[in-house]
Amino acid sequence: MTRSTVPLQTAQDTALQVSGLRHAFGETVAVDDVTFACRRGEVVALIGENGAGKSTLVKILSGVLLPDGGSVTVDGQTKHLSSPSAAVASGISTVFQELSLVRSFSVTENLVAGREPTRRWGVVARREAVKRSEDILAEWDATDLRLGSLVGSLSLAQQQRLEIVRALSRRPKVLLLDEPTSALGPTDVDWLAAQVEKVAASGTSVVFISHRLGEVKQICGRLLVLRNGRLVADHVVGEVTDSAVFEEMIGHTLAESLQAPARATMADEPMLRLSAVALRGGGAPFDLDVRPGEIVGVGGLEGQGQKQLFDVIFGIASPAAGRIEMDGKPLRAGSVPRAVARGIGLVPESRKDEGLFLELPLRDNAAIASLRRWTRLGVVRRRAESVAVAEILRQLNVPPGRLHREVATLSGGNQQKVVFAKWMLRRSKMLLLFDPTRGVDIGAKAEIFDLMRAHARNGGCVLFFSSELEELVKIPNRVAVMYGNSVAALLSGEHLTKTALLKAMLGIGENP
Amino acid sequence: MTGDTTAAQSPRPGVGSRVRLRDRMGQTELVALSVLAVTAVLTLVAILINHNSSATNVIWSVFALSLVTAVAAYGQTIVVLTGGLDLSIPWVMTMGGVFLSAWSGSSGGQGAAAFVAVLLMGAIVGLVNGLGIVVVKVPAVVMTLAMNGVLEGAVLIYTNGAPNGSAPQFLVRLMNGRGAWGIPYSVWILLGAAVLGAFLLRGTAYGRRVYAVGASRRAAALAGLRSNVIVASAYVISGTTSALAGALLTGFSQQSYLGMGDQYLLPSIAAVVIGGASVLGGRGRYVGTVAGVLLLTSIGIVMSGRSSDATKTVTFGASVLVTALLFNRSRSHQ
Amino acid sequence: MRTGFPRPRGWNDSPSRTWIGSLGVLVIFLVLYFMMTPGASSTSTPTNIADSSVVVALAAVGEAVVVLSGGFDLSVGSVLSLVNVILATHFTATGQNPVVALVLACVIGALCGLVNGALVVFGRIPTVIATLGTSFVFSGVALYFLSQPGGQVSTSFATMLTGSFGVIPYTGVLTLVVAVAWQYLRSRPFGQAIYAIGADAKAARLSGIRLAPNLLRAYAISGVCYGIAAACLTAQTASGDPSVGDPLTLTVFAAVVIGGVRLGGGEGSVVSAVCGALILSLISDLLYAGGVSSSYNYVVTGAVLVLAIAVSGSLPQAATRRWLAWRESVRDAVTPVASR
Repeated sequence: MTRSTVPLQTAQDTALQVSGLRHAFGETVAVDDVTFACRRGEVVALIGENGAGKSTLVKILSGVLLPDGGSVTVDGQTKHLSSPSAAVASGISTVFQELSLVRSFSVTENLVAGREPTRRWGVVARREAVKRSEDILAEWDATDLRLGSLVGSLSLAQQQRLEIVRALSRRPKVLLLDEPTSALGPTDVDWLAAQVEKVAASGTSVVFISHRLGEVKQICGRLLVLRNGRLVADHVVGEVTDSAVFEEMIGHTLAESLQAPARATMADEPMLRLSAVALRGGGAPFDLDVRPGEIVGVGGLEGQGQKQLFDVIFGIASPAAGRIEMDGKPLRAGSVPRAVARGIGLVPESRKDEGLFLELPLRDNAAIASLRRWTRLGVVRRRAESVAVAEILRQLNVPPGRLHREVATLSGGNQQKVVFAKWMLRRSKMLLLFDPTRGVDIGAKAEIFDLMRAHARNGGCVLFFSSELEELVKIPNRVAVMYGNSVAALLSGEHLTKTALLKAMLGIGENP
Repeated sequence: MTGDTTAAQSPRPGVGSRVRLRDRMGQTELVALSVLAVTAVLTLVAILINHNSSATNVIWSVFALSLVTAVAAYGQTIVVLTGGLDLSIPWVMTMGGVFLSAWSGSSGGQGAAAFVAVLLMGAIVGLVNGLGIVVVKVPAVVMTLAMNGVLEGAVLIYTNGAPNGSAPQFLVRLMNGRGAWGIPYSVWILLGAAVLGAFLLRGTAYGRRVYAVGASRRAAALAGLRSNVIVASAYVISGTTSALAGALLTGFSQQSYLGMGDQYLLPSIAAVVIGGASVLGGRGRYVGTVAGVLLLTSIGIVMSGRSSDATKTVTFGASVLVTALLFNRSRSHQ
Repeated sequence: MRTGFPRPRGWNDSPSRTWIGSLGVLVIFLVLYFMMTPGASSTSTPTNIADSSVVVALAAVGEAVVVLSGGFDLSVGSVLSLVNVILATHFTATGQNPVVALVLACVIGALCGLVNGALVVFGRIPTVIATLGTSFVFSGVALYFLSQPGGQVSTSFATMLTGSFGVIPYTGVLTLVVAVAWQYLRSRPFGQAIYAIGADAKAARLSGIRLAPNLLRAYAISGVCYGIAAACLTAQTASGDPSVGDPLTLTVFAAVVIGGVRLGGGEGSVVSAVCGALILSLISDLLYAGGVSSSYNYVVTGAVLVLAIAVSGSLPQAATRRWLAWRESVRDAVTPVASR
């Protein structure tokens, strides 16, 4: 596949101009003074790790979110992107990561949604709509999608392709593709590349958001790198090495506070054993053991099954096949109370929605899983509870006197510590941590790692997923890399390097 | 947000030491306190305006009725805390009152037994509500609305349109008698109920779990709580308190009548909302609800005679809306 | 069924045909009615049936529109009461033109609907709370107009809505007109938008559909339907009563659900809500004919409502899925390996 050539640059050629875009969620700055421009017909990649600000940027450009500051110009005119329909009207068409299709509508109905052709009296001209949809599918090589079938009955890949086709059919000035290949296989990716080339040739600017470097190099001509909300690099594809790009994506974090992984003595009998477990979505069966005293890391690009792995262990979801054992005894899947009772605790991905009760005070948050400890005849013995909670918080270095404050008033780092406190008070043996350091300041990050190591030293075990390679290399004893809804590789010791991790994550075998 | 970075060893107060009152209270309690203050002023004004004893009697009886509302609103508070709504209160109350008066008879013992039986009925109705909502996944509004209708029909059938019997003596005395300083028993009970109710919500493990489920069902499930059981139990409690409210009302009026519960639904909801509970669940204190009840009561007193049911109804509806606008805005996700 | 004009091939191959179910049940009840009601084959029967069900039917049309869009309108009873008392007091002032009265009813209903819509769209209040609050506000306003049952209507108004052309009742014609009007609106882009918003508001918004104008329109339409229903109600009772609508809220919901409209939105047919209303009315007639006291109405209505939801809800779906999966596994176990 040829990349789009770089035409001569003229002011009139600029299709999209983003200037000084800024947006913060409370204290966290998601997008920090981002400025860039795209020419007509240019295919630009926007890459960065999870949490780099890509999705916030997309939300702003597609009209879902109003930025705190900055401006967006399309074809020289400043646009106020106050809603998704305003964005479409301004010439920006978006392929959303979470798909914007209505499942109970058919392919045709989704294709014409919001712009149905009408005939006399304003009635929707259905025959015309069907014809138009036919033409659209033919134009963009997607005739395998049956017009009348309900979107809910299509496979995820087909749905994603439909989402892409719909955005293409709007003939936008700017096309935003947000992780458009997350459900696509290699043939479909080639298909996408061909369509992108087609639409770019007709003058559309394409912004391709992804963290899959391989595809990006195949499809795009220019590379913008986002890290921590800032635009850190702007390269022409082919003029920069992969490793240089990786470094820009990852940055230099925590080098000094990361020590060697805990060399705790590990028992031989595993605490958690997964036997021939297969995850839903066609993953291959795998085995995984976690021994007491061990810290096992989990790595993987978005959507490779890591979330499902954690869900299955914690009882949120059931595996498609396989057995789970805790302390040698079988653990029946699909029940969170059972998992909690057996000593498993989850520090979830989204602490605000899933790990904390934001309007409740700190004490209630920390104690919620262990109320039995202080309950006599149904009544909670406040004093004993407060003493226990205060003690744990002291160990976690959360400032005292905060017991009655609503947890929402704490900083991200301290909030995460409260989630930890919940399981420490429960005396859980196995901690599952999903991206525990996301959105957490550096000081608190180091403390969280210390907590993990202390837990392991005390005989507990830790399974943690991180999207930062640096962490995966330095902290755990072993790392399980997820690819295709299965554990594709288990790296440890001297095999545990950033390059090896990345290769495994990208699904690249030994031959690059 | 509040300079919460990791602190060095700061001098720490003992766990039981006096933390400043303002710090202990969240926004809800502040609202409840201010509502109570307004109520106190309004009540004083009302008493001053009507400075003859017959008017004072009227005021006391209105407070007795507040007890009824406050009891019904207790169940509503818990249901709202879990994120639901109980629209079956009117006819559970009427059912409670009707069956109580029908079964009471003349002996005190029979009256007491009837009282317990009626509470049990309320609990069973609540259980059916809860199961429908949690197991069959009928939306709370629909389930309780349907239950309300079913009970209306059932009670109509049972009484053939004419409820009979009278309230047991102990309830009549409770709701109409006077205690120390000429203040009716019912006012003392109201205070006691407020304290007890608030304690049950704040001080028990069950109450904690209710708040957790209401604050975030997802986080509650991920903490190992059995959300379904907790939600269903909220409706059981609401059914019981509604039946209790009906019994108390019957005691006050010394008899039951059809539709006696109808005018208590809306105040129960309005009181909960005014008291600072968010109808999205998780936030609110029973103290706030009681304050809300008292506020509505005192508005009623001040306006009584001068205004009709119309103004009261409109005011209640408007207060629900205004409070919803103020408190629910911040949590909207759009 | 998300009905519309004839669907060409490729538009939507698998529409949900819930209206067939409700039509089938309606036919069953009609047969039962004719068998069990004395004097059922007289020429006035269609008028009787139509008149006794038209108020709930029209109100159910309005409610169905709101439910389809993902909402819940608890204020339907109060709007009916409000329009009813305004019409009843309006006539005592001067003998009025019945058509003007009908238009007035529509306008008031639409205004009430818009208030609900504005609270939901701009106030961001959940529909349940918003309509609960407005139900009390509207009831209170109704009490201002008429604190006790009373008032009167002109005879021309009463006859306009309660008569018949021979066998065909006026109310039947009115319902037909409303149904056709809705079908027309349904077949416009607005109709597609409402179903999309009800099915998945987030996806609809991302697809470029604007929520505010469509939702406001839906609530206004429902208000107009309530207004027309209230006009029929007023014509039938020939008087005003500020709490006349209160018991109807439950019945209207039941009609909507029985008709197959899914609570939560996005699925079902507004017109089949009319079938639901007819079914409920026939049930009540059958109970009466069977000598059962009218108090059972509420019990039955409530029970039928819960039953309808249970039957259409997620529990049977999950159970069905599990049964199908079990059947598959049995088949796999039984089929010899080579022939799979």
